[in-house]
Amino acid sequence: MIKDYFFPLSNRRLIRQFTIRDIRSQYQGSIIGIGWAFLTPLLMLAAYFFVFRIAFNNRWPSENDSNINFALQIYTGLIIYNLFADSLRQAPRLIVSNANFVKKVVFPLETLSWSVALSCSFHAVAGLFTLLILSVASQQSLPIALISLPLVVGSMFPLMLGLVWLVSALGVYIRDTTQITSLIIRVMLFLSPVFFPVKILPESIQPWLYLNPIAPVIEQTRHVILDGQWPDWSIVATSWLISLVVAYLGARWFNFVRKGFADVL
Amino acid sequence: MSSNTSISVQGVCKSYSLYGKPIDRLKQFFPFQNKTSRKQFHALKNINFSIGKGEVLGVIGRNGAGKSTLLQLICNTLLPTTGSISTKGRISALLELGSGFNPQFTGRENIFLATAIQGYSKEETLQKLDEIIDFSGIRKFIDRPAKTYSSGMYVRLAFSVAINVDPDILVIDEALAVGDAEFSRKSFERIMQLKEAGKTILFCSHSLYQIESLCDRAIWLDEGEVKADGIPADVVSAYTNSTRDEQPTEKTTDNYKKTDRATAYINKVEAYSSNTDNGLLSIQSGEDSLTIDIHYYCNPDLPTPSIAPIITLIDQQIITGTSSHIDNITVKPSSDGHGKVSITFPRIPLLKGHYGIGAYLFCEKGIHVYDFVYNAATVIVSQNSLEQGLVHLEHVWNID
Repeated sequence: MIKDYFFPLSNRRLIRQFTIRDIRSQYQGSIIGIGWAFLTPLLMLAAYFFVFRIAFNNRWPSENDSNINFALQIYTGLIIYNLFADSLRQAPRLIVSNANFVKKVVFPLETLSWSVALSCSFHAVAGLFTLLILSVASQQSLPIALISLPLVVGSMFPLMLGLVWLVSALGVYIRDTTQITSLIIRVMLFLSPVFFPVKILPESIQPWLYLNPIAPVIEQTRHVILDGQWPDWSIVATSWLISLVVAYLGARWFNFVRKGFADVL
Repeated sequence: MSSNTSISVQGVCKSYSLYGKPIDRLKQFFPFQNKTSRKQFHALKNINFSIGKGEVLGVIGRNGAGKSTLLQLICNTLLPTTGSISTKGRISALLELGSGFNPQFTGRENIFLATAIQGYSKEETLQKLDEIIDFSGIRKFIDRPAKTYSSGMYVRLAFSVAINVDPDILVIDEALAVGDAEFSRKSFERIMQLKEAGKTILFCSHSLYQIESLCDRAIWLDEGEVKADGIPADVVSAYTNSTRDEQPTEKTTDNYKKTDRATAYINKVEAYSSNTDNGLLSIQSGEDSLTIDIHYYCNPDLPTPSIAPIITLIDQQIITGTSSHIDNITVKPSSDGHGKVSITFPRIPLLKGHYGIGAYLFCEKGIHVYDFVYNAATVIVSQNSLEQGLVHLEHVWNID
């Protein structure tokens, strides 16, 4: 039963259809179309860059403190954070808004979570692609360590799956989930090392930040792309472990409470 | 479950707890929750039956009798509180109009969505795609989002998907009356084809006539229990008798309840010819007369209804139909509401062919339809002349 949650082979058509539909519907009818997937993060980056670099005159504590490096550091953080935020934002109403699929047809509800995670991943991949081009262009080098990038960022995927299962199921029973989630999303922007590296924090606080599961992913991604170094494999492995545990618990929770969905929707 | 059984329902009960808030349902999952007495609503009580492969089963009963719950349980969208249900083969369900559809998707995407939900591969769907689109008759709009569809188009597409995907079991919940006459005729034909192909069909309808004409077997549900199970004609008449029996007692109860119940309906439509022989109604064109008897019931509190006999082609296209209202006839039901009218067509001018006899029961102004019946009897007209067409018209030749 839980196996179907992680290996939804028989439902791959459904997942693909929902994912493509989800991505396409975001840009349908717009003039720039899919270009928005690249443009939006760049425009947001420009705004943050203006606030933190120009207005607050922040510095990035590394040997390379150029403007472009500062921008790319923030951009990396934003890509990972958005992956988390976008999927979580859709979660509370995911089941509620698809009540038809709960009550009227036999539908593998767990696949909705996959579609959300995949369509958010699509945007992250678009962002990473832009980031890589900018980074390689500015550093004039193509470090071999980049091949470890899928492993480093990949640990976000089970984390998102698990969180979406967890929150979407909760959202069916507790309607306040929407408000709570949007609050968490906003707070997390500042509790994640998006606008700063972890090492500028006081030593006593640094371990606490690692309670945030996306903090190590952001740090390691920067390490790979911007420093051109191999990641710290023990941290990457820990991230994967935590993500998989979250995913497993999410799936178990979803499977446990889904029996009651039809009774309250 | 034997090899010939397609659906088996054993000891199934379904009760709904009435939750004040959704979170109360969540709390119920946890054992430490003190069991406060929740209000229970028993939709189904100990239902047992099985349906053989290729059987067509109709489910009848009043609103709220548990029909839809039963169908949902069979389709596995609801879980039974106790008991078990097993089904064999692929189920295609039409529980509510376009239920598996996403309004944001285009019609074409919805076809793929609905079939993917039912577990058909892309290749299988591609094979059926043209058939589905053609059947729905909305090819022009198939690449527009479903939210732009009229409700008729929506339903036609949903119906078209449900009956064209080659299911082993087809479950239909009161959706047969969808679309215009042309579409509903096509749907009937398709369902009859499925029936002949040995598919199991389960449907519920308020049109008792449909149940009698389509089903091999009928089940009457009343307040969550099986009241009768057997040959459709018997079950339907038991059901109509019960609604009739309750009618007089209702006069004394409050007015609201009355609207739940059948207020006027056609009991029976019979046809006779002056040339009666061996049950088959065969008529000699232009010579024999045709008499139609219509037995009806109309709640005595209602104004006197008007009654319209019709003669149709087998595909339900009306050739002629008059009514007591048009002809300024006042029918006279007895004091308990029952009545019978009889109309005779002398020297029937229909030409050779098969014709259906039916009737409509209207309100006193001839506007609101209480009930209707098609093809209650079939008449076979034969003729001696070579005149062509459906009907003989009086005519005069002029040769200058």
